[in-house]
Amino acid sequence: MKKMLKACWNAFPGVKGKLGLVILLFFTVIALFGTWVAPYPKNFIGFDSWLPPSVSHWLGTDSYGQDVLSQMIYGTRTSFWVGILAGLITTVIGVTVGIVAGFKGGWIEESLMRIVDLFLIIPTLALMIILASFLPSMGTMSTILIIGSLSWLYMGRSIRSQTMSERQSGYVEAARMVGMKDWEIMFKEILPNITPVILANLVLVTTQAVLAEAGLSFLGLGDPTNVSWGTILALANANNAVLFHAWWWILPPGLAIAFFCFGFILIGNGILEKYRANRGNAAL
Amino acid sequence: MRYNSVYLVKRIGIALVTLYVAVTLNFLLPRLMKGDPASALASEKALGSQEVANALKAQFGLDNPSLWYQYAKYIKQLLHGNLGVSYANFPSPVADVMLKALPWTLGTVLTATLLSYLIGWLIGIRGAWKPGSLFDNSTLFSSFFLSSVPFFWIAIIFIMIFSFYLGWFPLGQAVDPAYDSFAWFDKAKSVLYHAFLPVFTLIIATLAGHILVLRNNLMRVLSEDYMLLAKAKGLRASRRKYMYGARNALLPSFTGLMTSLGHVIGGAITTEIVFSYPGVGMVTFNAILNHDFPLIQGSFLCIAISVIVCNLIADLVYPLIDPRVALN
Amino acid sequence: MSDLLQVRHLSIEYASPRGIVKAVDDVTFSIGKGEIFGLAGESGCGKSTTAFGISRLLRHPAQISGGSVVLDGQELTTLSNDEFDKLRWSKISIVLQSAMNNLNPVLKISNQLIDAILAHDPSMGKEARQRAEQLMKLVDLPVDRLDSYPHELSGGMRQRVVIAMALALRPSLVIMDEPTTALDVVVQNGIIRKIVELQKEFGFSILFITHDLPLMLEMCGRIGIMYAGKLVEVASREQILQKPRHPYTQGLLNSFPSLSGPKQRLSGIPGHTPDLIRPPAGCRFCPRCSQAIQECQTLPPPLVEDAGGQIACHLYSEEGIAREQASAACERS
Repeated sequence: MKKMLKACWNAFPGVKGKLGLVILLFFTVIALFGTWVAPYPKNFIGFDSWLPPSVSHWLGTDSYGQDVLSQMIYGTRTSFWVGILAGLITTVIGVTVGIVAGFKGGWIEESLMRIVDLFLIIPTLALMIILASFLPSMGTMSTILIIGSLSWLYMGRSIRSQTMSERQSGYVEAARMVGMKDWEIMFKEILPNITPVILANLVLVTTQAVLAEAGLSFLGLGDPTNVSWGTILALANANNAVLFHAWWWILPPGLAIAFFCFGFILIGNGILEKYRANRGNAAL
Repeated sequence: MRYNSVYLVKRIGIALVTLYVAVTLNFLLPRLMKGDPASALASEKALGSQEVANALKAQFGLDNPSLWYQYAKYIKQLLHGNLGVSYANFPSPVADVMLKALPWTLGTVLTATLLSYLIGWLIGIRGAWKPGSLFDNSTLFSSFFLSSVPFFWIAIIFIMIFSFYLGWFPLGQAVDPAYDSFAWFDKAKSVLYHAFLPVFTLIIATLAGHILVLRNNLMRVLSEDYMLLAKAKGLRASRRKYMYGARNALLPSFTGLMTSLGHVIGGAITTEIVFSYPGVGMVTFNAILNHDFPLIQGSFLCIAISVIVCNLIADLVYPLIDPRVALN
Repeated sequence: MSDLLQVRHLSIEYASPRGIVKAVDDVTFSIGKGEIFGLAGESGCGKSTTAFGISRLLRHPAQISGGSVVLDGQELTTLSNDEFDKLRWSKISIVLQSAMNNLNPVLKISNQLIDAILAHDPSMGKEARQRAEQLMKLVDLPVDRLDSYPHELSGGMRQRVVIAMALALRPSLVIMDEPTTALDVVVQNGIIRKIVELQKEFGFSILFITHDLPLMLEMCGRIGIMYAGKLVEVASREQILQKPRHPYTQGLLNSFPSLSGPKQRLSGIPGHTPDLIRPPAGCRFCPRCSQAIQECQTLPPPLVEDAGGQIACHLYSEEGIAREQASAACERS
């Protein structure tokens, strides 16, 4: 057990990677056990409005008389899961498209990459807005699906170029000689070899998903019954928290988003740096 | 002249195809999401009049169930510049609402993008020139942090600090309430005064990306042999840094600059909401609040067209500054 | 022939995560005026690092840790950066590996030729352009190519431009680091012939670096052989061709096919170059040497000057020769 923990700890390279890991662990714990930690129930209204931070309300209350700390803790759960799940969907699509395009080459690659280039020009947020606003009802699941299915473009490109350089290496040639099928080479041979690149990308798309969720919620396109860091900020802005000096309503959600994403970016950067040092190339 | 016709035709072709795809998505996506396009685009309730709704339905072919018929009609109306009628701003056509909003957004977004690029460039160069220095490490660290922060939160914080507590800038809006009575000079002053914080927000929010890209590019360029040779030639450090190094690092990032425009416009949408800045973002936000579907579609199209046009301009400018492009 | 360049006990090292790497260790040689001196060895033996050390182009974290470099009676290692910058190109110029991007891809050829001239003589003005035209003619390139960008020229033409550039200020020493390696043989021959021709005409000295030993034997008057950061042998071309002394030199020669002689099986040298962070205690070549004797394991052989040139090998030190004779005598009796 101790050994396993130690191996996990060492898997995160460098000071930056370890700092990132600590930050992420903190948010994971809150996301998983938040319901027990939160001092008051979700969306509970009934305190005085605009209370500054105090012993009974560490982060004060908002204009509706909700405890900001409790809302923050419940919000962590939404933002966390949207980030992780949308990030995973993005990764699955991005990796599949990237590996297939990079390995198969020819017209398959050409057409896939044309599509990617085309969609890269059209702003993703605008596409998300039009999808989300025309949906009959918005739930957290649809947020995840919309973000997940629209964010894989950059990742697809990056995985493709990495696959192309792998395709030339000896082990792929060898696998072909032994008569392995294309899909076996792609997902059993190439995939494990580019895992660090995939992980680094996964980390990036997760942060983008968290930011996208915040953006959509801020625009009023999130799940109206749920609470996330984005909706907290949207309410704070809509209720002129600035004019009421309610910094305790504004600072925490923004800082939470920032630190959560920062943790991911640190880990991703650490992985990439180690990968580059090991391979001695900068083809990323 | 560095253009060759193949390059020109290819670039313009790509722009046209992208435009066509955006237009088609704008037609298809709402129909995929929602069963009844007629009520979305020409709701009697929202328009308040049966006749107006029927006229619109006829215009956009919604009285005919055939998707192809509707599509043809939709394209035809688009070519005439007709994007439908906004519910919330009835009877203003969507096109008019968008045309009023677009200059505000394009003005702030383009200014911010260029300034952010320039500042990111200078910082990135300085960092890459002495990698591992205190300056380099601190900019890297803050860049990572800044790219983790949502645009709109930066906007709220800036309003809180610079407008509310310090009182240096207005709390929102694009011009002074008494704008119309101003002389031209005061008008210009008022516009700049109101645009400052939104532009500043966009600059800060996009700076990190530019710093990271330019630093990486320059690090790669600095390891090239021609940089070593330039040093061996006894050229001054400033000449090596800017004429030899920065120029080479700059060029590959130039196309990225315009691609990033889509990202900046996305950020501008939420930023405008915070500043109540009357651009495309504010229009979109209000359209979402009011379920003003024609306006949402209109704003999508507007954003897409702006980005596509900016990209095309970038593609056409690029060969003028990079001698390698048009020939390859 | 008086010496133009004297390198004395030059050492270059850099810090790596595992420890300090001694890339160049106590290297001593000299180059005469108008001489073509070759530096040969496997990749990673420190030959390019030596050249960069002389011309102060070492990349961080590599740095000179000892020794002296004297050019034309002037000590270079103690000069300030500003003083050294004045000397660059006007005294020492350099031609880098042809495989790499020697020329800046976004500047016209003319700009790159002229800015070297103007950097040292800003008063040249318009004359600089005429000078650039002369330089192009010197390397048999059409003058109108001055207005081309590097990517519009072939690899051979680009390398000619680089050579023209190196001669722009009539330097007394030109360092050439693998100047023709990536070019095909025909183009390579043309360029080598041009270099030799220009050298005869202007009388500059060349420090020629390559791992292509046959090419080196063709054009260099004297040759230094480097192994794992050490200079192991310096001798005239004839000496190396006829009677290479150091076992490493012999092995190196055996790794190339002879162009004219009878066909022989190439032997190569077994084993790998040693770890430069923890080099072998004695002779660095000892682990791969087929003729190693006992001292080789413990005692690094000093570089000794004798009639045949310089040599660092126990087999040729006085004791070594004595021992050899003794063992030969033993065998006989």
